[in-house]
Amino acid sequence: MVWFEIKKMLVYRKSYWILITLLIIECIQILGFTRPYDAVLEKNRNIYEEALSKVEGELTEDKRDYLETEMRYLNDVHMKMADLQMSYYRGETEEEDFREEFSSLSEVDERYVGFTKLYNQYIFVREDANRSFLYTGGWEALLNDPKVDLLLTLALILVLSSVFSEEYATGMNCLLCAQPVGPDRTVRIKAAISMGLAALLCLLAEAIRLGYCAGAFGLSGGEYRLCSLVSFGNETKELTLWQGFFLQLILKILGYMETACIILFLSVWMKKYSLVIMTGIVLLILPPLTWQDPFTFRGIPMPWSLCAGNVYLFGGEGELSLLQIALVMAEAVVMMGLILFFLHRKNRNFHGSKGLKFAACLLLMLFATGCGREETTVYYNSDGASFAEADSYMAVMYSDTGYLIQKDDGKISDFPLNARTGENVFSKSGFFLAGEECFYIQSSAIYENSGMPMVRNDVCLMKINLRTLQTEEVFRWNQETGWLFGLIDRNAQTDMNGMWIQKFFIHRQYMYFLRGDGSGEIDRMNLLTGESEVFLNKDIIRFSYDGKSFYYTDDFGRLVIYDLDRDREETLETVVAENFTLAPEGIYFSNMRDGKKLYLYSYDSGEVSKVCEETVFRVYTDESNVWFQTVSGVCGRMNRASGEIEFFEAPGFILAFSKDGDYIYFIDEAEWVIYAMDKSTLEVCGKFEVESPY
Amino acid sequence: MNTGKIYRQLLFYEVKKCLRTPWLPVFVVFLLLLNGWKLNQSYRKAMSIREESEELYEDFYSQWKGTITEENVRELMKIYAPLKKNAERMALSSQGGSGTYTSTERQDYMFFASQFAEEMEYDYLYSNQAVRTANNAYSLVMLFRETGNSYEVRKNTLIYRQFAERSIPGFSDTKYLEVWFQHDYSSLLIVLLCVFCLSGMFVEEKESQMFMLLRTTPGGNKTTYLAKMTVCFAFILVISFIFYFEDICILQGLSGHADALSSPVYALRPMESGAFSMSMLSFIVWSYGVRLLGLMCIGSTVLLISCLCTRTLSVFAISTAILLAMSYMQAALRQWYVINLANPMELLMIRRAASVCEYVNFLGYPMLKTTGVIIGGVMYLLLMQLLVYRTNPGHLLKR
Repeated sequence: MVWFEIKKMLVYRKSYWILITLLIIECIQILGFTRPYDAVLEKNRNIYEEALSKVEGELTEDKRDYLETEMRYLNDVHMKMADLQMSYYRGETEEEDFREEFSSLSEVDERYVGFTKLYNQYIFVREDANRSFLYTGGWEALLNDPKVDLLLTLALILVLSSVFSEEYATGMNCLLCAQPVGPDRTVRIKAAISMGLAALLCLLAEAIRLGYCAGAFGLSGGEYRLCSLVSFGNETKELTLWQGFFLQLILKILGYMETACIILFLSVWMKKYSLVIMTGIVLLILPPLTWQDPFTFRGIPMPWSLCAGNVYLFGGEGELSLLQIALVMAEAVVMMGLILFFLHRKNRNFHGSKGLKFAACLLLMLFATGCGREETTVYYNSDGASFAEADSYMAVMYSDTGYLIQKDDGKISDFPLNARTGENVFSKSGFFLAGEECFYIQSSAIYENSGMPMVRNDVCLMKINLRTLQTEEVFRWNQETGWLFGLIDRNAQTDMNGMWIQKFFIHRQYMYFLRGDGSGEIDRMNLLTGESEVFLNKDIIRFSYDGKSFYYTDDFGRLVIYDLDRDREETLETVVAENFTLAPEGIYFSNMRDGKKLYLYSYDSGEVSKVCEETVFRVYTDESNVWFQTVSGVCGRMNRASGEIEFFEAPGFILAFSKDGDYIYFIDEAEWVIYAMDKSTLEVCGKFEVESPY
Repeated sequence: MNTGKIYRQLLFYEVKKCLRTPWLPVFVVFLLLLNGWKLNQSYRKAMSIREESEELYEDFYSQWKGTITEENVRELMKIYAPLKKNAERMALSSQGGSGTYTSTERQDYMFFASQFAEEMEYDYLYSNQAVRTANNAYSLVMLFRETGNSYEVRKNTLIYRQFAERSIPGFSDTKYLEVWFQHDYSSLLIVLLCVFCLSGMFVEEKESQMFMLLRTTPGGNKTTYLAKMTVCFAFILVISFIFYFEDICILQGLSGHADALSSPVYALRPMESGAFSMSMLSFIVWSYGVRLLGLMCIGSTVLLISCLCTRTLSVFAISTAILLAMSYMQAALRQWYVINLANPMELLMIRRAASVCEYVNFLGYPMLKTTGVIIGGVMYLLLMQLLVYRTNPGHLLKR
């Protein structure tokens, strides 16, 4: 009879599809969305573990000395490297010496980040004698997420709702009561199968999670105390990690078994299948979804907290002792007993329904796909990203304020071209110009409320055609935090909302950008999916892009050319530069080996030649001249044909340089005036007052 | 036979069959209590600063509400200006003492800034902001005329007209309306009720094999379909009215002020960039109308699935999955707005589209995104109704 009941529940009603779907989704959730507790630690794990092997276990005086001495040493090395670089750039250290010493220090410095993680753990461990050193990543990932598995609860509701209610719906309950095999035995079997199924599913889910954490992160040191984990640092139950795991497992199993009992109870009481499902969802799923804080129900012997078993492991305010947990479990068992008694009294049997065909359902899904951008020849220099020029218009960004300049009459408009620019729409990023299309990042401030308002920034990557001035949205960062009617609080990735990107370029469907947090890291974001990853983790200040390759300087100042399609890099030993600018004829750079004088590297011949004796800060080129601005602000132009250099007085800093046009634009920050200077006569021919951004 | 009489009889029968259970009113009451509790929590969270000094707030509000006069501003600045100066110097005291309106100087600053100063400043200066926006729009019209970009010309002309004469006539208590603005929980509960109460509308006929009998009766095809549709839409209308009316009543009751209802909708800070200039009350009614359209679309989706499936369990599962997918698309796929134009969830969250002045290019003419969403919703509803009519169990066999 047991086998028959199982077949009726799972096979005849096709509920096995629900269970298979549930297990697949659980696997995807666990395997796809379980993130490491500390991503930086994972990146430096081998270094961390090498150091951990010396201190694992309880803290002793020897271990304390070792950690503090080692940390001091690594801090010294870190600071020495910074001093060495400064000395090299100032010309106080020869290149060979610099490279040798830098390499040897780098080898030691590689341990800095990983060891810092261990040192932070030391600061935590030394606060409590019960804490020990161990690798916590796996245990944190396994135990740290106090959430009810709502999918599992939903699956149980859908599978178990029909256990008794179908009999009432078909009127078979009366007939079944007349059968020779006692109806109470049937009730016992149904209840046992239901609770067994709930327990099995819970065990399977936990087994998958345990297996994944053990495989992906490792679960060593299970004999150490639970309070050794940062998340459980203030718990007082004196459990080991394995004890904590098994306690929360037992609580979860109890919780899901109680869920099964409640569903059976509703099934008998309400007698109607749809009502049972509705009530089950309202009673079992809606409360944990509504009350975001999982600790609210800790003292209540209901599935709302029991199913999130690890809630009971946390310390702090409202912590339950082992005795209190045992009391909650006992109360839950008593409730289950009462429910089973009620079921026994009601004495209903189940009549299986005929198997029905599974109807095909109509699903409509739309997917938008995008195509990669057609590549054009571009010369993008991050230093010159503050302006973008086409035939008739030039877009300029200065001090977080944007302007659009009409080249023929010099008329200036605010940029971005939005009626709300200056109110709550702005752009702080540089430009990326590809042909006539100019990309920039636009932010709109949206006020969520008034009076000390919360402001959210709606950030988009926009594209403007500098000929027609037609704007188009290319990508929008999703800052939506409240999903499913505000019940799910998805933490917006504010560190990646695009607002802090100032220098970027686009290659195929990826956007490469310099992170705005000063880390010097180059990240890459897929414009179709929004997924981003670290592309280059070097200390990069400036970079260039020519439609195919990415240019940057390494730790020794050498220019590196990274082919983005072939994923290969080439280092130019002859180009050691502080600044560099791509141009069609070659790469202009300030040669650090020759007092930062202006040199040119030719693409064709690979030769390096001196352009002029000046120490330059910025370089611009047009057909006839090479224009530059020195560190002191003096401007000059060099005729390409004759090599003759002419200096001229600049009315301010170069704001924008019109390569194919007739003007250079300067900005005077004292007066907030933009001057247009004729390139051929070197005379100021236009003056435009703009609003100070301050 | 008199079709009208059959229709009326079927109406009553459908109501009794699907909705007249002893548990439905209990559930509705339970969900109303849940909604009320959640709304109360949201209100208390938003008003946490005011709640501690409720009487003080009422005193000052009664003095300063209405037109913002110089005298009111002077009185406010007399209290607020020194507090703001101390706040900028980070010299606000957290110690209790005499001479404060609330418990501490810091609390005073938070109270006056959040409840009066910021709001009054916004109300007073909004017209300047709107004029600047209108001027910008005008400049852009001139600029785009030169480039021959007629779409942008039309768009900025519309923006100019919308913002040209905007102003907020006076200061009023809009904070409780901000709570209403962000409150989506009642919509979720109505969606849940729709799924559970409407799922069995057609599928139960198949489960009990009654659809064969229905096809043989004179009122079995169109009349039954019409009666079911009437019951479904009436149910959605009544339930949404109850929940949405509860929202407004609770918030009105908690706040105690009704002055803001006659203010323009952009007096709500989240709506400052919106394209609408109607009054708050009109916006509330309009918003409920749009949400009702969204609920009708969702109800029709559930009915369609009910027609296509043969088991109630399948209807629940598939309806829930589709609605979750719609909700996910509405939140996650914000950059691909074309998909969301025909997403009923966008209608339920119409505040998002209404709070921005964004347009879509429809054959060279600018169309407000809100309008696009509503048109998309109407087309979606018509499509669903057509499909339900074609696939309902009473329709399949030809006579």
